[in-house]
Amino acid sequence: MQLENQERPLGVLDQELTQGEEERVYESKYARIVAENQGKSSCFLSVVIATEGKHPERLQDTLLCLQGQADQDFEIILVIFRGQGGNDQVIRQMISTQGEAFQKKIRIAEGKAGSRGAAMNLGMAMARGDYVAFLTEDDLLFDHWVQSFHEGVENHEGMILRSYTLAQEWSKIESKTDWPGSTTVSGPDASACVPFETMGEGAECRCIGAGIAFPMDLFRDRHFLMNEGIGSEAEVEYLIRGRSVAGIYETTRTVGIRRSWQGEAKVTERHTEEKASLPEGESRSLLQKIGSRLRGMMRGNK
Amino acid sequence: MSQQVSVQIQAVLYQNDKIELTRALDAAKAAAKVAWEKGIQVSLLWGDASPEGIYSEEEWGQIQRKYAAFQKIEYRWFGENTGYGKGNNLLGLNATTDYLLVMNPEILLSPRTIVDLLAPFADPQVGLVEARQIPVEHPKGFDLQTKETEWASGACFMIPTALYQELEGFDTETFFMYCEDVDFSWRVRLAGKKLYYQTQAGVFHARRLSDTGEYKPSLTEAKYALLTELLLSYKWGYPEFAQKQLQMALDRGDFGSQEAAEEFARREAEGRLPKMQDPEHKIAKITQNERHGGVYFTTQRYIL
Repeated sequence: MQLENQERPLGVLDQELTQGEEERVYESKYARIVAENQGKSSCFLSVVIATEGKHPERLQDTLLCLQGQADQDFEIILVIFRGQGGNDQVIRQMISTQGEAFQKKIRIAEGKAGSRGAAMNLGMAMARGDYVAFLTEDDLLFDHWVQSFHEGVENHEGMILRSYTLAQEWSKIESKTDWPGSTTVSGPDASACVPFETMGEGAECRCIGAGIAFPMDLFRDRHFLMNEGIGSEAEVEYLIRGRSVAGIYETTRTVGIRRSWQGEAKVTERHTEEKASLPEGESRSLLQKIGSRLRGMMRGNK
Repeated sequence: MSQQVSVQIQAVLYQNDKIELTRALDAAKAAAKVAWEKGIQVSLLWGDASPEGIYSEEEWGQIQRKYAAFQKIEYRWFGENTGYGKGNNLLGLNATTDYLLVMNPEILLSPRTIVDLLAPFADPQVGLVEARQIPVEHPKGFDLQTKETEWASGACFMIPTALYQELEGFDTETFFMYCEDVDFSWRVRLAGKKLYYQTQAGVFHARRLSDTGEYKPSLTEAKYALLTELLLSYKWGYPEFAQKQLQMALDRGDFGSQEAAEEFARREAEGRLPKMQDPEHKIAKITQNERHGGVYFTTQRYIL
């Protein structure tokens, strides 16, 4: 007996989705790029940083944290999307001042993605690593961030990897130059540094960002794409879908800090009216919305 | 800022990992190149306090060729464990550059660090400029408008060489490890200069926080911290506080408290306690959190 769509487990929905719209988008937009990058020198982790380039000073902090990684088995794909007013040139100039060995890890793609979701998909298409993690210029990483994933993949290959990240409020400090300063406003919030299963409903909404590394198989083999028409929900959706087929392994290590900025919306909020980190009630409505959208995709509606 | 300003980057090594040091050199070189474009000459001097030298002559020769962007790049094996203060004094007290950039060897400079640390010295009242550490920023307070801070971390700061030499560098008679940066900062202020916290100059310092968001000091830090806090308290006019701290630590059975008590008593008996500075507490402000015993040398924006 064929079940109604909303009764099917998510894994089954994913199988049917790949036969439809998502597969068409993958083939038309990304398959060629994936093929171009196959056979190139590979690494463990591809770090995709999708940025509008508005805050090079914050991006510099993130890049410095990547330079400081004890495990250097990674590459960086910097996707500048919606580049405005020369932001892309500012970013390129900043990259050109980095150390020579570190610059060689960075590839830049610009002007080809109109949304954060599209930027993340482009980053995945260009990726040469076994795993992918998505950062923003709000992320600060401890020196064992890559290492925690790399060690976690042993005996858990193919699973989504999750480490803990703290949250912390920062403040921009105006300066006389075009390079603002910054400082912390308060101590770190460790409320998300708990096992996934104990977080209850809406856990996915609180776990996106630097604490998650996805196996590239989800993109390359299953053709799972980030939804390009929405904002931060795209990552939540991706985690929900990926989790249903790959499962999650928790390293239980605390590996970094995601900054929020006094007086500013979170970078992952700027392109959507929904919020990525929500109290439980709002998480439920977001998950319902995502579930409804996934079912709608299956019926051929966006 | 006049042309041809010169900066000596200096650090004291101790059994550091070569791969980490190479990353630090790469970052320092990138910062030196940005500085050079602004007319700043940068040299690098490393002193090695390890039991055996980290680099052989051949290895250092290769490094000198690879990092030729520096005006001069030099390595000295001290042949003794000098500690941070004495090691930096050996490097800095005979320096001839305009400024010293004193840092831990594994610190990663961002490309702009040297330029950003130099900028505040346009104000002649500024005596020392401290870099902002990431990913874990120090929670000590500073004035958001003037950027003045009450003490500066020795992890990475810049100072005019002349001032460093006038103050005769770090107090190595009193301090071997930890708190010498607090003491030095207060001596800079006692000399009538300001400490500036440069929020634009981010540097990477490999520190981590726990899954509760706390900073857990290493055993080495814990072992040395109590003694140095006692000596600092005594030197800067808080002798009763020092005694109270010590008794609280002994009562709690804190790690290293017995050794600290014995060493403090030994120095007292031998007349080797430091000469008291600032008895009217115009500079030094030392407080202790009664609940968890943390000692603070400035206001704290929050607790880690």
